[in-house]
Amino acid sequence: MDVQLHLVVDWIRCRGHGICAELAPEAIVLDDWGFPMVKAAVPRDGERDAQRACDACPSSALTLVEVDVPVSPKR
Amino acid sequence: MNAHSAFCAIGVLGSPRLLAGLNTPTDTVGFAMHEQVHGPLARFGSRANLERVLLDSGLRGRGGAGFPLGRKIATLAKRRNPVVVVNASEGEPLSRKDVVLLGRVPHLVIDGAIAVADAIDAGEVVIYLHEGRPETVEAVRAALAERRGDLVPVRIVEGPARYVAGEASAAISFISGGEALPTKKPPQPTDRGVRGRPTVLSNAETFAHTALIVRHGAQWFRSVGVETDPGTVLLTVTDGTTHVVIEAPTGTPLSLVVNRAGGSLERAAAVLLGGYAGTWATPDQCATLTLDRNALSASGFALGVGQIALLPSDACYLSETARISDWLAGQTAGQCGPCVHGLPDIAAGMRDIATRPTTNKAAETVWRWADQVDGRGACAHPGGVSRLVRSALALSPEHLAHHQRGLCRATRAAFPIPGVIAVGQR
Repeated sequence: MDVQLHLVVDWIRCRGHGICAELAPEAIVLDDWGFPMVKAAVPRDGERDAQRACDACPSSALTLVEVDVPVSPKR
Repeated sequence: MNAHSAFCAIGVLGSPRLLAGLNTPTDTVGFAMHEQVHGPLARFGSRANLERVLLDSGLRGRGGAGFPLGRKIATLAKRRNPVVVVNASEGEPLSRKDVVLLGRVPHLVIDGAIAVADAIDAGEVVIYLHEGRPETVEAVRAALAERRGDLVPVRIVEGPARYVAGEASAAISFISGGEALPTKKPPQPTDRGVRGRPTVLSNAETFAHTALIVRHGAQWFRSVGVETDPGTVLLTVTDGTTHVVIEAPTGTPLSLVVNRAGGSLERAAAVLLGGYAGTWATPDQCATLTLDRNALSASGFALGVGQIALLPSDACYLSETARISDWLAGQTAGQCGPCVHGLPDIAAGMRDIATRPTTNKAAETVWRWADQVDGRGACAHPGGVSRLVRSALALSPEHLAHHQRGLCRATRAAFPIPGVIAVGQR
């Protein structure tokens, strides 16, 4: 098993402030109404920005979680 | 009008299981008749046996997701005093299978829930019903009053008539004393459900099948239907005005189900499969489909709540989609941004496409919005609207082009919208 970091939005808390997309634009873009669309897995070099985005959310709606993924065979 | 009456027409393909004992269009199987038809209720004996028999039977949840009930039991947290919830909050405007099950063969549903509750040593069974279908509530009350010496206490909870109130986490929240609104997942109900207790929640039909599995065994259950999803299923076949509930083995061609209900694929303008948050199909597509969950899913379809809605030939599926998506937008729980903001925009965009000349850009914009809201919320409501709208836009490029030039002359509103009394012309 490999561990990936995923950004998870709590949709009931999220109010669409949009701060996350400014802090971690590689991982988060906003939809047409200003709510975050998160990419599947946070790349290793994007962890710091993603953590800052979580910490800065006024609604505490964004979290980084570790997800176990099967190791893909070498290409 | 008695649109939600339990006395809806029924039909059977093959041998009846759930609908056994029903002989006239209006009868109900009372307790004495129920025991005569099915025999007395048996017991699974232990939690381990319940899990094994259900896994062997291959019974999958009949609420739409199709999760095997045995696997749900396997994941149930091993703490004391779990709860069993029968989710019969049928909020689909055109669906009648819960009405038929609880209104006419209520003892099967109750038996199944009690058999599960007994095996896991549950403290109670809760039957979660939909407000606004008083016949069903009365029928279940009357059925409970007929029974003596049940192994586990059973009570009725009436949820509000909102569409998303039937979503599993919303049902659990309401039964626990909160609002009937979807909550964040995890936790799953099997871990923390009703008032924090491990909870087995499934659809009424799933429990009705369980009542027969505990009596006749897993092999009997598997003796009809397809290997990957055995047994029979209940389906509502409707044209928006009349409804027929059909019991058929899985694997049966859709066309046979429709014909048994007295309908005709050839005469339909289009077919909406799986409920209002379902998928449009052409009659030609339907003619190739069978009641096989895996095969349907591979073709991009699903039976969802078990509904086949035949659109009359003088109606237009784009107009129906506009009206239905507008209603679904109003059924949001109001909690999640993409749903609260996205669905009204999608509905307005669909209304434009359905009612006035538009360009490709209008359809592309609605499609982009449908993509954006899909999967982004505490429950599956926005995803359901996405599915409906995308399938409508993709169904027929020719008819879409016809609309874009303002040429569609269909004016009839065929499928009813709850709260809208007169189904007439716009």
